[in-house]
Amino acid sequence: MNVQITHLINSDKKIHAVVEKCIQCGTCSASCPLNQYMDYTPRQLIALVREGMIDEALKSRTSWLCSTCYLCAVRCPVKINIGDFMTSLKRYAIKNGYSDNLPYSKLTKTYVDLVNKYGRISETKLIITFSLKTNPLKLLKMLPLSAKLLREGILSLSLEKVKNIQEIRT
Amino acid sequence: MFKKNVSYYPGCSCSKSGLARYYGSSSLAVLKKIGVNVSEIEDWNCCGSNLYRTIDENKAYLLGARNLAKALEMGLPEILILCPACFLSLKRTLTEVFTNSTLLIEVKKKYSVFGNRTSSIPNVRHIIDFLVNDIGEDVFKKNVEKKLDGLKVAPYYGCQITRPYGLFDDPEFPTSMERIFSWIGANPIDSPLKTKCCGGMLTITNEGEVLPMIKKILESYIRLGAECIVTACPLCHLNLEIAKMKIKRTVKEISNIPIMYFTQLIGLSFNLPFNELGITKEIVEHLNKKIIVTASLRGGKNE
Amino acid sequence: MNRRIGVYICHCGLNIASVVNVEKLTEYVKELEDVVIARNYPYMCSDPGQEIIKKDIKEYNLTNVVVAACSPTMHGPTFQKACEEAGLNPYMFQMVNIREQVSWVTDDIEKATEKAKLLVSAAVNRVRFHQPLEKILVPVKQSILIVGGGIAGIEAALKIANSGKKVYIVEKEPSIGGRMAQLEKTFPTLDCAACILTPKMVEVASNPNITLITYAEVKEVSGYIGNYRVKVIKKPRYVDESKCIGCGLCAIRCPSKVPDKFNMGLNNRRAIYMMFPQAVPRKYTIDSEHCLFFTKGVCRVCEKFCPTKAVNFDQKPEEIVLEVGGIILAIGYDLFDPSVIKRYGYGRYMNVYTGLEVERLVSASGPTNGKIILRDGRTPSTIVIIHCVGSRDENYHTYCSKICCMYAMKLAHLIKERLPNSTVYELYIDIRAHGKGYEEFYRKVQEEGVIFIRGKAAEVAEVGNGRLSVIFEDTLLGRVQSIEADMVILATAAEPRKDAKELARLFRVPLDKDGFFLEKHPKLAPVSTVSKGVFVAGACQGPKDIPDSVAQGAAAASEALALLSSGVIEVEPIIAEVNKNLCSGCRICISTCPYGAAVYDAESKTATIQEVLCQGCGTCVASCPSGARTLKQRGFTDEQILGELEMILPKPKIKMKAVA
Repeated sequence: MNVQITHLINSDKKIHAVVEKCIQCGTCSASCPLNQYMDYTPRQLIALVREGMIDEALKSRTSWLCSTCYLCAVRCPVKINIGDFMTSLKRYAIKNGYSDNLPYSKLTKTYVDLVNKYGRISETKLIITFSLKTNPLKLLKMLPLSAKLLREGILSLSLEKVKNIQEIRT
Repeated sequence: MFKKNVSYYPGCSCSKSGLARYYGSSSLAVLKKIGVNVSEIEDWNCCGSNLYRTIDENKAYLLGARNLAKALEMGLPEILILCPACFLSLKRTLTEVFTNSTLLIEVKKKYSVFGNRTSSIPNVRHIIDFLVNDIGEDVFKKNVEKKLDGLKVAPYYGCQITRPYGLFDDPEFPTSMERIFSWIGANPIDSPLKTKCCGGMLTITNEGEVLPMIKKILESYIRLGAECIVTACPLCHLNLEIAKMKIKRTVKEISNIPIMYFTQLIGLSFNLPFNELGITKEIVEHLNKKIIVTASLRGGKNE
Repeated sequence: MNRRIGVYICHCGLNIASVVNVEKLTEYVKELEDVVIARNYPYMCSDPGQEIIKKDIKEYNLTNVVVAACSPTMHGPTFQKACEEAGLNPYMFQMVNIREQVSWVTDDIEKATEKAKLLVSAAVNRVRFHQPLEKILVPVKQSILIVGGGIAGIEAALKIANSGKKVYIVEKEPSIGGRMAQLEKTFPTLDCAACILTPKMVEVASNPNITLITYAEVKEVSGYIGNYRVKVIKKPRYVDESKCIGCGLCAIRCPSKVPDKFNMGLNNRRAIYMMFPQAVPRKYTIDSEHCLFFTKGVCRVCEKFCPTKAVNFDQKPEEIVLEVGGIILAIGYDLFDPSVIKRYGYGRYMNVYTGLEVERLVSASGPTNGKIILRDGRTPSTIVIIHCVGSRDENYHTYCSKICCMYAMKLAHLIKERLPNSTVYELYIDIRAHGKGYEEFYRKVQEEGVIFIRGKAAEVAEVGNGRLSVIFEDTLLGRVQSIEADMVILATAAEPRKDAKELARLFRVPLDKDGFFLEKHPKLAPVSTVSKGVFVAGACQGPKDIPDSVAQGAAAASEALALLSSGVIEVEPIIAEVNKNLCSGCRICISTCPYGAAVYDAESKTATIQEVLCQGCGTCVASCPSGARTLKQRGFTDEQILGELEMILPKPKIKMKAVA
C-alpha cells in the first residue's frame, strides 16, 4: 500500500468527517442508480477508506461511476455528502496516477485544459477533443445526433474567450 | 407592472455558443416579458463545476468566486442561473467561501468586493425558484396569452436543481415546475422518476451503463401518456435526446414526444416569437394538435 | 458590622486542581480584606470537608463563608446546610464556580488561576454586604394533579391515591388509557395490553381518592411548589356524564360517519362515539366537528333515542380550578408522521402502513377484528418492516426512539401468528433489544422464521396491482437487493407531543434538544424538573416502553408523596422587599410582576410584596422609578452586585496609572 496516499487521505478533513460519521446503513448504495455496475457499493467504499485500505479504494471503479446526482446525500441519515466523497476519491486517484487510462479521468483533464485556456468551455469542443484523445470512432457514432443539432442550429464550434483571462489562470 | 433587477449567469451551456442556447434565450425572453430586468454578468467564466473540482478543488471555488464577485461589482447580488450544474457550483462556492476561513481570505485578496462591508452577500437562485417564489402566480398569469389546455407535460427535473442545495423544494419530489404548468393550463404528469439521474457526463464516458437508466425514465413518461417532456437542465436535455435517438426504432411513440426546456413551453403560452424560443416549426405544429388552445392563440403574432 | 470571612477552595479531585493552582489561589485570597482564614481541600463537599468549615466558623467566629468549587446548583445547598449547622445564617454564604466556569473550559493554568482569583475576590467583596435572611415556611396542599391518563399517569395516580392522598387526573381525550389502550399485545411477554390495562383503568374510576377529569385541558398555572393553582377547561361532551349509561343506542342511530382516530383512521366511527369498548369513563361523546346538528343544524337523532336523556346540546365548556401541592406531567408521545419521508411512499401507496396502524389491524377490537387485511382487500403474503423511520436520522430525529425495534419484532410475531405462511422481513440498522427478556424475544422471533436483513431501506416503489418493491442494500452481503412485498410497515419513531411546548411553557419545565421534557438530572433526578414540585413520568421525558413508563410513574408518585408528607416547604427568602417609607405608591411594580405577587395596599398607599408568591425574578426592582432603595431584592442588593462587579471589572486605566 502506498503509505503516502494513506497519509494524504487521513489528513483530509472532509474525508475524515465522512468516515467518522458513517453508520454503514447502506442507504447510499441502494439509492445509487448505477450501483449494479460498481465493484464495491458506496457504503463499502467508505468502509475501505475507514479501514485504511486506500489503495483498494482508489483502484475501485465505484467512484468513477458516480454522476454526482446526490440522491445518496439527501437521503443519508447522518448527512454525509457521499457524492462529494466520491469526487474527493476521484481527485486522489487522478493525482496519484491510478486512473491515467480511464476515460472519465481524461474527460476531466480535457475540461480543465479548456477552462484554463478559454475561461469557458463549449460542449462541442469538449466532446470532440475528448473523443480524438480516446476513441475517434465514437464521433462517427454521434453523427445522427450531431446532424439533428446542426439542423436545429444548435451545434457550433465557436467559443468566446473570457476577456480577462489572466484572472482565470492565476 | 412588475419590475425587478437581477444579474444573470448563463454558464457555458446556456450561453450563445452553448448547446442549450435556446434554454438561455427562451428564459431571457420569458423574464423580459414578465418585467424582470436581467443583466448578464460581465465577462463571466466557468462556474468551477464538479468536473473541474475533480482536478483542483480550491481553484474551482476561485473560479466560482470570480463570477460572484462580478455580480457584486455590478451591484446585483441576486444571481439567476438556469443550468443546475452551474447553480450547484456557485451555491457550493458560496457555502465554502463562508465556512472555510482560509478560502475566504484568499478570495478576499483576489476579489476585494467580497468582505467589503457595503456589499451584500450574493444570493444564488435557480430560475424555477425565482419564477415560483418571487414572481408568483398572479404576476406570472398576467403574461399568459395562450392557455395550453390539457397538454400532458412531463416535467423532468433531474438531480442537481434540488440536490443538495436547492432547498426551495423537496429534494426528491419537487412540485415547482408542476405549479408553473398549472398556471399555463397544462396538465403535469407525475412520475416517481422525475428527479432520478440522467447520467450526467457519464453518457460520454460510460454510455453502456448509463443509457438503460435514461431509457427507463423515458419509458416511464411514455407509459404515463406524456405528450411533451420538459427539462430544466442542458445535460438532462442532451441525454434525453441521445436516449430518444437510441430507442426511436424500438419504441415508436417516442418520436412524437418533443423534449423541450420548460421556459420554451412558458414562452409558447406567453406568445413569444419562435426564433427567440428556439422552437422548430414541427414541434409547434405537433403541439398545436395536442393543445386545446384557449384565448388568443389564433391570430397571434406567430401566424 | 465587623466582617470575618472564611474562604474554602475545593480541588474537586483533579477536576479543578489540575488546572487552577489552588495553593497560589489560597495564598492570594488570604491577603484579601476581611478574610481571616483561607484553605484548600481535595473534596470540600465530603463530610470531612464540611467539618472543616463548621469547625472554622466556631473557632474563628466567622461572619461569612465563601466556597470556590463546582456549580452552586450542585452543592450550594450542601454548604448552606453546613453553615446552618454551625450556627451561621445560610445566606451569609456565597459559592463561586471555578470548575464549570474555569477549570473545565481551559488548559491554561496561568489564565485559569487568574480568573479564579478574580471570581473569588468578587465573592469575598460581595459577602461583605450579605445580611442574614430567614426562610419562609408554607404549608403544602395535600393533593396532586396528574396531566395525562396513559399508563404512566394511571400508575402514578393509583400509587398516590392508595396511600390516602387526593389525585386529579386531567386527560385530553374522552377516555384514559393512552397509547397502551391502542396496543394488541405487549413485548416481550406478549400479554394482551387490554387485559392488563383495563383493570387499572377501572381501579382509577372507582378509587374515591381520584377525581377523573376527561376531555379536558390545562389552560393556566399559577402558584409555586406546595401551592399550585391550575385552571382546567373541560370541553363539552354534549352528553351528561352523570346520566349516560354507555348503552350505545345513540351511536347505532347516528348517521354521520367519521374516520376513527383511535383506529388510526382505518375505519369509521359515528359522530357520537365511545373511544374504544373498554373506555373509562364509559361515556359517549359528541364530536361537534362532524355532528350533523352542529354542522348543519339538523338531526338530533341521538337525543331522541337516548333512554336516559343524557344528550345535551347546550353543554358549555366548563372551567375547573384545582389547588394542588404538586404536579406530575405524563402526557406521553406522538408518532412521527412518515409522509414527510416521501421516498417511503406513505400516504401515496395505499399498502404502506405505520406500526401503530398495523397494531390496530391486528387488534381483536380493531377495525378488522384482528384480521390482517390490506386497504385493497387482499391478505398480504410478503411483508417488509422498515426500522428507524424518523429516528436515528439527522434529517428528522437524531435520537434512537428505543421502542421501535421491539414493537417491530412484536408485529412480525403477530403477523406470523395470524398468517403462518407469510414471509416477514425486518430491515434494520442495529437491533436494540436492551430490556429484560428482550434479547430472548429477538431470538424467538428469528426462530419463528422472520428474516432479519441489516440494511436501511432506501426507497419503496410501486410495481403495480398494489404491490410494492423495497430497495435496500443487504450490508452483510454488500449487495443491493429489492423485495417485492404486499405490505410495507414503517416502524415510526416516537416524538414529543405536539402540545409539549405549550405545556412546558405553562408549567415552566424546560424541553431538551429533541423537545421532550427535560428532567432535573438524567441519572440522579430522572423524574424531577427544575420547576420545583413539577415531576415528569413516562414517554414525555423521552421514548419509553411500558415497563419503563410504569417505573417512572411510580417514581414520580413517590416524589410527589414525599413532597406531600413533608407538610410544609421552605421558600427561598431571596425575594423583593418594599421600603414603605420611600414607596410613592405609583403601582408600576404591580403591573410588571409576572406572578401577581406585588399588590397595592390601600391603607398605607404603598406597594406590598406577597412573600409566598414572589419568585425573586427582580422585574419589579428594575421597574421601580425611585430606585433600589425603595424596592430591593434580598440577596441581590445593589451593594452586593456592585461589590461583586467592582472586583471583576478592570480598574479604569487613569486610576491605574495614578496608583502606579
